[in-house]
Amino acid sequence: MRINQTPPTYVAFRATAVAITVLVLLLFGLGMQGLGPLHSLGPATSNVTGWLHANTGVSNR
Amino acid sequence: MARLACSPLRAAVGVLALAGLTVLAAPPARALAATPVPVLTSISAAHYVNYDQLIFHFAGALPARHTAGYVSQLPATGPGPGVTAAGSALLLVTFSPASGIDSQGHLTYGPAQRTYALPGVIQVVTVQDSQGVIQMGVGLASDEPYQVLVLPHSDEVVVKVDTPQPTAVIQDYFVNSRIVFGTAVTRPVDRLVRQPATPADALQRLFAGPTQAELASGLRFVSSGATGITQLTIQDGVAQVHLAGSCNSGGSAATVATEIVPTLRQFPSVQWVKIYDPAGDTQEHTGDTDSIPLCLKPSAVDVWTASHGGLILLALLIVVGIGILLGVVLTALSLVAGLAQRPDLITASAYQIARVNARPVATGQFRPDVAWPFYPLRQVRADLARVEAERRARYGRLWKWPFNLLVWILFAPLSVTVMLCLLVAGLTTLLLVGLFALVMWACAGVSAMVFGVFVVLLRGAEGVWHTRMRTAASCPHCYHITPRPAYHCPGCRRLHRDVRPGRLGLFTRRCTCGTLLPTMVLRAAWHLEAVCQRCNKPLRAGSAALRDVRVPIFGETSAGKTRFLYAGLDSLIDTTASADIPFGFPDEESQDQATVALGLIRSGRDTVKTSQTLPTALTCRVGKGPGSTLVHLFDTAGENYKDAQLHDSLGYLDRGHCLVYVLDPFSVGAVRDRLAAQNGKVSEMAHAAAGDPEIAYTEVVSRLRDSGVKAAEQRLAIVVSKADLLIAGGIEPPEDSAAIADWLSQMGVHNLVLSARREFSDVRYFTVASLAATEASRAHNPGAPLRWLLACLGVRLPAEPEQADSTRAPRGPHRPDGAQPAKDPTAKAEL
Repeated sequence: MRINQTPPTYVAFRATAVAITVLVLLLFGLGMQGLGPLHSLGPATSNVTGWLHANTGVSNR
Repeated sequence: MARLACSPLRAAVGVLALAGLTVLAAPPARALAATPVPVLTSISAAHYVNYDQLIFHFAGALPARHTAGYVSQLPATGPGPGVTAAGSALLLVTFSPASGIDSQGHLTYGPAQRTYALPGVIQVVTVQDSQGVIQMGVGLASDEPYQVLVLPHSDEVVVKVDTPQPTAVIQDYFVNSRIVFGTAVTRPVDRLVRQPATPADALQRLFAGPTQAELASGLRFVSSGATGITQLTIQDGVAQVHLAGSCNSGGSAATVATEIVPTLRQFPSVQWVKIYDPAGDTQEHTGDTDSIPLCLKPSAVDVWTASHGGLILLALLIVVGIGILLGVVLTALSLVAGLAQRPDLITASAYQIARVNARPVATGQFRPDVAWPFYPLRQVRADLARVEAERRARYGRLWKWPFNLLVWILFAPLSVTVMLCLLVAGLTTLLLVGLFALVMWACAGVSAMVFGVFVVLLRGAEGVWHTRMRTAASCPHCYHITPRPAYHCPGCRRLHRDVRPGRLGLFTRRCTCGTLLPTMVLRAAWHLEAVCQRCNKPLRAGSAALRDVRVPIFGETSAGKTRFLYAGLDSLIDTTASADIPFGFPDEESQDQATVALGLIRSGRDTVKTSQTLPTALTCRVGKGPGSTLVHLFDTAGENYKDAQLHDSLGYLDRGHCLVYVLDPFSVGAVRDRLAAQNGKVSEMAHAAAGDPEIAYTEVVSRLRDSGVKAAEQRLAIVVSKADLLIAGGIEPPEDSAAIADWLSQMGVHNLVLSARREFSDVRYFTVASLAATEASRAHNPGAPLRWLLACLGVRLPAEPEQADSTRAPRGPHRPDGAQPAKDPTAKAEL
């Protein structure tokens, strides 16, 4: 009932903010895979996953 | 004389030529001074058939001198012991002049010590790099013949070391620094050695360390303080290795023994390895078993960690993964609850209260309008606070499991695991909510900036429109004038008093009832019901969006103000109709008022005496679209000018763009005297005004002066009414403005003429008939004063209606055929 009072602009703002947050997380995730605009995160992530793989045997592939 | 005259010139030319040749022939001193010292940029090595090749790359030029030779030990360049290179023979290579240090003190050719997996060249170290001299020590497997070559057109110095024996591949084991936990801490790498390969060769390469590529892959040589080996014996499958230097494991499970044991065991002759410390001790001197000295024994914790650390790390990974997943779910639930299910909504009323609390409403001010605010202004904070509250509540509930401290203690390992998981989850939710808050604030900031720019632009555009078009909202009831009227919400009838682009909306605002209202006056004027900010009575449609012209009409009682107003209006209707200019009344009140009065005027009957109550403006609209004009005509009873209280209420006088003063010629004594002598009946028909014609004028001018109104910036139309009756009485009034002024002066009202000329910026005199415009009374058309005033204010009208449309049929009782006009101009125009 109360949500019906909410102006559509408010809903649009919230949805936009959530979408941008998810997009940032996606870009971050892609960057850790060495893809996308944040691809420079890839080598660092590779070192971490390599270290984890070397010490635990866990692989992300 | 000619030779004498030429001699100095020749001498000067000769000197200049000599100087030029000297300059051309002189060596470039600066170029010599700036000759760069050759810079060693890189060192590379490779194995070819029967030789190893070591290449020194220089930038710019090659060093002028380069020498090489075997030495028993590398020279010391400082007070301490010099460097050494791993190998059985040492080759010293010298370059001069040369440098390998850049302006920041860094080596230009890479590390000062590097190892190669070649059969001949084992290690290259920097001995000296100063004072223009570079000395490099090369550790070789043996003192084989060598050559130093400089290739033509090349910046490289090549050192070739012969490797005549066939080669074999052995393996050295180095510690993998990326492996912290687990027992498999070493990794083998290949080394080329001369045949036959021996354990001593393997250990020699082991102590030389990993190559650059192996270092980059994480391999390290852990020496545990040992600098080499002093003795290596192999007997009955048991290799005895005596360490040189010192011996200390540092508590680590990975020691030099970890590398030596597998390196030696690759040889079939070695089954067991016993390592001795520099003092010659080991734990198991005899027996078929490996042995290490006590100094290399790792601590129990390290041993346990090495064997169980990987498992613990894996468990930690799983716990952390679950924690992260839990944090993501918690964040998502908090966002859904805080933004959609249970949002803390800053309603329009709540925002109004907050604004009033922040800035109390002063006397005479209105409370802020009740409408939903722009989201970033207030709701962002509320939403973020709500999401954070939801996150805290959900996360706090998780910590209550399993509700009992005793259970936590009893199940300590599980509890610790759960706590770790929850801590990770909490950290994850904090990061995600923080990221969301960051995005929200960024969005809010950007949108607020764009919003602010648009607010300024829209307000500026509306201000320019107001200024250029001279728009305003005139209240026809209380005469209050404002650039922005108040508007009723069509949904809930709530009053919005500050309708403009701002914090409540850019193009539209949302009333608390949910109805969207335009924020621009130019739109609101046509979609909303405008009311006066002061008396709350309705304003004319289009108020504040159209050019607003206010014309007060004043004069003595019975001066003919009302007849002039409607006769002039009738003429104006004719003028606009003939010029095909839309004309109409924006409200029913004006429409009805005009219909009745115009009917009387056209029928030649007397108009009703004006009520002494304060007048409501008769408003008509001239033109079409946004460029049209609202003309407010104010008419009040002459008695009001004499009543002090009522006079003070005639505020429209102060706010008029121009004034119309109606003068009854029959109230002038000289005129009355002349008419009485000629035709006394006319005087009776005229219902002459009783008072002095100058009194009302003086009252109004005094009021304007007292109110601070600058009459000098206003126009005044002095209208001599009842011209038709003057003509009927035998007096032909003049038509020209100047002639009328002169005529009035002659008739004894020269004070009024002089005062008007002095007080107002522009004064124009008119003589008008008190009847509707006809062919007969065309000379004294009552529409002329209004047309003049409107033209002065920018309303374009044809000068005379008859000139524009001479075929128009007369109306009313004066029409000989009694025909009706093509269209009824008094009908409410659909504008």
